[in-house]
Amino acid sequence: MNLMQRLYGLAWISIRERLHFRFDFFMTLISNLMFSALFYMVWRAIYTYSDVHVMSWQVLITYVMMGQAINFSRWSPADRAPVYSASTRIRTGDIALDLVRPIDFQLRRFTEAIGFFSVEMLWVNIPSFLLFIIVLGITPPKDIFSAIGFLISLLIAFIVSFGLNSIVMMISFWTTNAQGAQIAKKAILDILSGTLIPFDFFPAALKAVVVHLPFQGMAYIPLSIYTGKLTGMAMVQALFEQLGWAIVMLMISRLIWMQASKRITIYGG
Amino acid sequence: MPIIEVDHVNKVFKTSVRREGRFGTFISLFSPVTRQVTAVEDISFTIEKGESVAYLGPNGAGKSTTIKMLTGILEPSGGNILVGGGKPHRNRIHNSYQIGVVFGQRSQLLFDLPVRDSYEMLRYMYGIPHAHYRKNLSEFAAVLEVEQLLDRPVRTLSLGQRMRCEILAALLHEPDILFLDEPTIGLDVIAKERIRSFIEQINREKQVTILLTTHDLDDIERLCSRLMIIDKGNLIYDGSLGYIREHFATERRIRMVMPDPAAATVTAARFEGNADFRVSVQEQMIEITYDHRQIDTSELLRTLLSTCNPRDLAMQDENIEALIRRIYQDGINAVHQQPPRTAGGIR
Ligand SMILES: Nc1ncnc2c1ncn2[C@@H]1O[C@H](COP(=O)(O)OP(=O)(O)O)[C@@H](O)[C@H]1O
Ligand SMILES: [Mg+2]
Repeated sequence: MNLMQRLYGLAWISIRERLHFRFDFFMTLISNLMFSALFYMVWRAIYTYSDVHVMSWQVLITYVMMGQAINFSRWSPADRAPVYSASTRIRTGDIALDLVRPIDFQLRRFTEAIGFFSVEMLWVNIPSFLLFIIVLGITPPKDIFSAIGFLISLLIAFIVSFGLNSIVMMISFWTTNAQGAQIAKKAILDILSGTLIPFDFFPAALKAVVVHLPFQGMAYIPLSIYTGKLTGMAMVQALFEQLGWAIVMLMISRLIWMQASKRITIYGG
Repeated sequence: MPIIEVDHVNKVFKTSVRREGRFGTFISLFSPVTRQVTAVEDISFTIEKGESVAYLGPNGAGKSTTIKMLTGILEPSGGNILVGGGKPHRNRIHNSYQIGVVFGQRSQLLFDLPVRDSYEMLRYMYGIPHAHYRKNLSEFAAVLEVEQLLDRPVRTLSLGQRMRCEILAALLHEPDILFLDEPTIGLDVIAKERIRSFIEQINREKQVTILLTTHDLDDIERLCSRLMIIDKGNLIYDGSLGYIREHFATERRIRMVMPDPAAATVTAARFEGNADFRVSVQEQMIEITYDHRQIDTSELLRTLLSTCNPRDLAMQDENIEALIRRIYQDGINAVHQQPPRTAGGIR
């Protein structure tokens, strides 16, 4: 078995593990749809009672609803479970067992995240997406390039999100509780990633800041590609920017992990 | 070449202590007070391939810390460790293929999934070839009698069942060395026995080197030809259990039931004068305790039988568990360096 086969196998195990919690995902889907309905009504109200329209209603609602379909700050089991289980393992000391395995701890978490993300795609993201197309009539990508660009961007977004989750998870090495950090992460993402409100509505000063932060890679970039705001060279450039952030996030989480694992081997956790 | 070499190893933990007072936590954040705990002071030993060694000691003696250093989880503060020729914490991945680990208090199985899924996970983790995996799983599952459990979620297993599954998990990748940290803790007699016979079998048939920590002397008796006792971070004994029994368990006890214990007291009085000779009478029962190196047992028995007419007689060696407790409390010297005094006490 080569390394790829092994990682693939591990991801499969994680998929099986998550499929045991179908009910969790079903509830996530329901709550996702309810929040989507809420945001739909809010934006509808805003557009009905104001006449300063930064973008057309159709583009806006496509952006916001797709934002809910691919939401990386969703309170979902796929997102929560790995962070939660890792911080539990740190607190109980079970993490020691992960250190006597031939697969690197973070690589293992990565395969796990892939498995969980796949299940979430299947149970929450794709059903939401189809419902939005059929019921709300949101616009599909305008051409094949936007569609492919969006899928690539979504994959990179997953890596950025994994990096961020890893960092949040490792915080529990020092605080023994990742809950607070996770709540903060969710709040930051909701706003600074552009999930709830497109950057175009932000004040110029804030917008200038958020386009230089990694969080845009988890919503603003993929959504702007989907809605056709970023095309051609601008799209490619945005993808590279996003990829750059993915690498930076992975490197930061790697450094923290190395520090954390040193701490385990010296202090015993 | 020994498969495990431990050379003057030492492990000191630094733990931060919370300051007292209202702002204690806050102040500690900036100027932490650290306390040093020496878990392992200075330990050296070597283990040859195929050996089966028990590691015994009271709680907090440093057993788990030693195992964690051998598995590469902890880095020694001083000294050298070689496992299979390499330093475990430097080369964790290489080390992980040659060792299997079971911590009695922790689980390596996926809690919510069927047992089999955890094994599948390990198969991918270690990249175990399919044929080996199938062979090992069916063979070990048969011997450990866990075939019926493979499709049950881990959370539904009893402790004994789970522990058997854990041991199987530690062996799937065919390690050369198996570390077991209190594998039989909390198990009932039958569950313990199953685990023992399995460990014994893989040690004998597959030459897997075993190092196990335990509080249970039956584990040692059954599994290990060699016993290491650790106390307060130091190795205080390294040898066989038989040697301890023979040389340290010097106390023997005879109990007799008879209508007239007073007569026996008179007889027994002839042996007195030896420091370790004690007689106590309780209604119809007389109990004589003596050092069997100083008094010839057959001589004593002959004398007692010919003068006292006991209705019943029982002989008992010193309880080995009590003996080991004494070793912990008083140090090995307390039981070791009593030179045998003049043999035989009969004049
Ligand atoms: N991570 C740690 N941090 C601080 N002290 C520790 C740590 N692990 C163990 N110790 C201390 O080291 C000593 C030995 O512990 P351990 O090796 O677990 O003993 P045993 O397994 O023999 O019961 C104990 O005093 C324990 O409190
Ligand atoms: Mg212990």
